[in-house]
Amino acid sequence: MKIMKTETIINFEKLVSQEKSGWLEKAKWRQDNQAWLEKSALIALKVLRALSDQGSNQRKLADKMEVSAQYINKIVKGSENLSLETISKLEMALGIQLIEVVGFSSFVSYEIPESVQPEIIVSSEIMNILLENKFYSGDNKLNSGEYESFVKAA
Amino acid sequence: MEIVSIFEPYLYSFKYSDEEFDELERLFDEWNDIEMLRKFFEENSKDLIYYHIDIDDVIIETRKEAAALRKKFIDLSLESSPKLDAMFMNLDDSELRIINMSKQKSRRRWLRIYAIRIDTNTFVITGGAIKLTHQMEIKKGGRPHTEKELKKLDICRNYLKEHGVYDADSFNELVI
Repeated sequence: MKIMKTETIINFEKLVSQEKSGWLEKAKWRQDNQAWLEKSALIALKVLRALSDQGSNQRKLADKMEVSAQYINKIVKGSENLSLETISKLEMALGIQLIEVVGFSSFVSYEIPESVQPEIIVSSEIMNILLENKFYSGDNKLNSGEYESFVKAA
Repeated sequence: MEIVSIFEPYLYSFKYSDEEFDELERLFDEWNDIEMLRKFFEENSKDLIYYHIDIDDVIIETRKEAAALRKKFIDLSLESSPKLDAMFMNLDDSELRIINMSKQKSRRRWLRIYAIRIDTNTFVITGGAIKLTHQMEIKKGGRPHTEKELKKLDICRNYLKEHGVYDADSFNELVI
């Protein structure tokens, strides 16, 4: 049994490549940089959610920020060491706040740019209510002003 | 395909010819990739119903679990005699092994690393998955990505056998 085991190990070792896995080095790096990587991941998550909510995509965001689509793709993978400048550009382009300094509220107002505002499709029943109450100006899509008026009234 | 060492002479991983990295490196890259995780969980959102968790939270939990798993492996790599046997339990077919991080059977643990035991505390990783279903085979309720891992295990086992890496003790002993 022992001889068999030895043969097995010997045969196995013959199959092992000279090339080593890069896993351990990468894992140690991730562990050492875990604090900022965690923040980067949460930002990526929020960016992806905003793009989805706004019916936008990485290409449109890249155009808006005047950066390459490849760079945006790096950001949404959640391992990019983002500068405050880049985070602020992301916030302005997406119209959302991504980070804040604890204890202070931001004085910057974030508005979803007109180009990425979600369109709200309204049912005919709701449309009639809107028309009756003059919240609504025309087509079957509601802009954010009309929607806000409707919500306030509701 | 080839075999590369993670930390010799205990932990190894298969590296398939169509992949840039070996399986362990590939898995941890994927489990840290927010875009990839979001896509995966959106595609498998029906399986999340049982976990009562939304997509953002499941991504955060996955990263946490991956970090815990990573730390465990790093710690083991620093030991002179790492007890890898304690991390693995058998798959149902009694020949294959699955990594088992959580003895406490948390319901929110879905990361799996699959490996074949070569000898005491010596394993070679064949792949891994985010396993949200109880079974791996599609006909039993598993998903294509889990069934694929079973096939990979089979291919790797045959590859090892073809090269004389076969040990009755390794393949049949069930008790951990």
